[in-house]
Amino acid sequence: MRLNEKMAQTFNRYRDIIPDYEGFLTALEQPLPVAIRVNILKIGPGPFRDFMTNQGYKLEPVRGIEEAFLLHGIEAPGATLEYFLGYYQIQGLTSMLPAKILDPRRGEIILDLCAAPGGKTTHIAQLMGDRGLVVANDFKPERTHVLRSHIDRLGILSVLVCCYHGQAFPLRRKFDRILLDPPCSAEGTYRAGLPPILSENPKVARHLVRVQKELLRQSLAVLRPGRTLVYSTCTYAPEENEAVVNEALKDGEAELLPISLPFPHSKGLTSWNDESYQPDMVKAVRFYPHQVNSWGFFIAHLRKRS
Amino acid sequence: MPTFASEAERREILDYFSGRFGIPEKAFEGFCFLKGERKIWVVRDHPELEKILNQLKIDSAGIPLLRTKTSMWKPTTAGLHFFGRHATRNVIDLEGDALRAFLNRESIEGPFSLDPGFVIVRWRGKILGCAVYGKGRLRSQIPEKRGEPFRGKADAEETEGPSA
Repeated sequence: MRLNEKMAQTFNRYRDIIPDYEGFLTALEQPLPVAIRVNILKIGPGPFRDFMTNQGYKLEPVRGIEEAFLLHGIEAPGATLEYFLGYYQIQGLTSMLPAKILDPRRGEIILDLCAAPGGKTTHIAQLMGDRGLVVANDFKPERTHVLRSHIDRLGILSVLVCCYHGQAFPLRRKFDRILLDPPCSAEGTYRAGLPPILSENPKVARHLVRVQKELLRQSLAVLRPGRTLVYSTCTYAPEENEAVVNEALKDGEAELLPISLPFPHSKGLTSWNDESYQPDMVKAVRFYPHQVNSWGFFIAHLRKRS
Repeated sequence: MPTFASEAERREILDYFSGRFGIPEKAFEGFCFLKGERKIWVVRDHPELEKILNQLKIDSAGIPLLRTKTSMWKPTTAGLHFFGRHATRNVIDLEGDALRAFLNRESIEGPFSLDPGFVIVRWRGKILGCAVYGKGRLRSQIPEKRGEPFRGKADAEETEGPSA
């Protein structure tokens, strides 16, 4: 499948920041593999692999994420009995990283501010052993139906669902850790054959940046001092990534933490066009599909200063 | 917005699961019951749970356990998936055609050694969900959306191996 001409033009502005740009374009023409996350609340990765192999599935382990597998030779991974039983969740490999980086602990109270459809929410609960509380918020009630269906299917009892506008999330409750995966232009989800994505429309892109900055501000306001927050998007646009995080860093409210990862990746940018960002921005990470055959992603790990 | 079940209501819920399915009270230790308009939810207990329910407008907590719309309570698929493994009665194991019929939300002709009313359906020791038994017939209660992927696929592969 050839890359859409319009999308090739859109991505051209990243020519100087994406390493091996031609390799990046070639990767966009490849099909995306089906990645799944084992629901370790129901079955361990080893027994899951044995069970699925006995059932006739072809699984490939993913180095660096014990609970992740690539599922080969299957067109409808959401239509199996094993999926129905809640043994696994379909989730891109890079989408599994924000919850891993957040590193939630048993007993903690976590906020996932833009939670639907719930892949990361359920992963957080899973990493806590379903012990603690995860407040999963999404301002669109219809989107929380999908979130709830995953919670029910995976058998997670530690998630509370609410529907606040993220920018107006009540300040009276403070959290131990926060995941902020805001609405974004989703450039990282583009593969050849798919329709062009949101960044095609500058008005929409500008609106998203404003919303992202407001959401990050509100997230830091409800985070306990000294505690951590993960900001992630599935877009390449520095305006929605480094520029948003930079707002929180420049006034000294938060600091960036280093991220250790099992996959090849690139560092966050310290400048883009005429704008400069905090030197620490190199601690943020960028993923491109020719580095990891998954969604393009940006992740920053912040700590609110005490 | 769900609210905490009273002690009397908790007792009623525990008695229902114990009486109907033989699920011991112990299985529900560490969990709270919350009442919604037409449902009872079950959520993991936490020292801050009550405070959060007072501080935030929570739409749902944990998973739905029972539908209480009518006088006859109905256990949910999600609730049975979680707690059904502790059941000792009114449980039926299905295989082959009967299993496929259950996933297709079809009726299965009996008779079976079950009390009339809601029963738990298993496949090779794994809880699949809920059915209702009456007049010698088992009727699947798989939620419509969750049964969708299996609809019209009467092939053994759907239930015993890769579906694609």
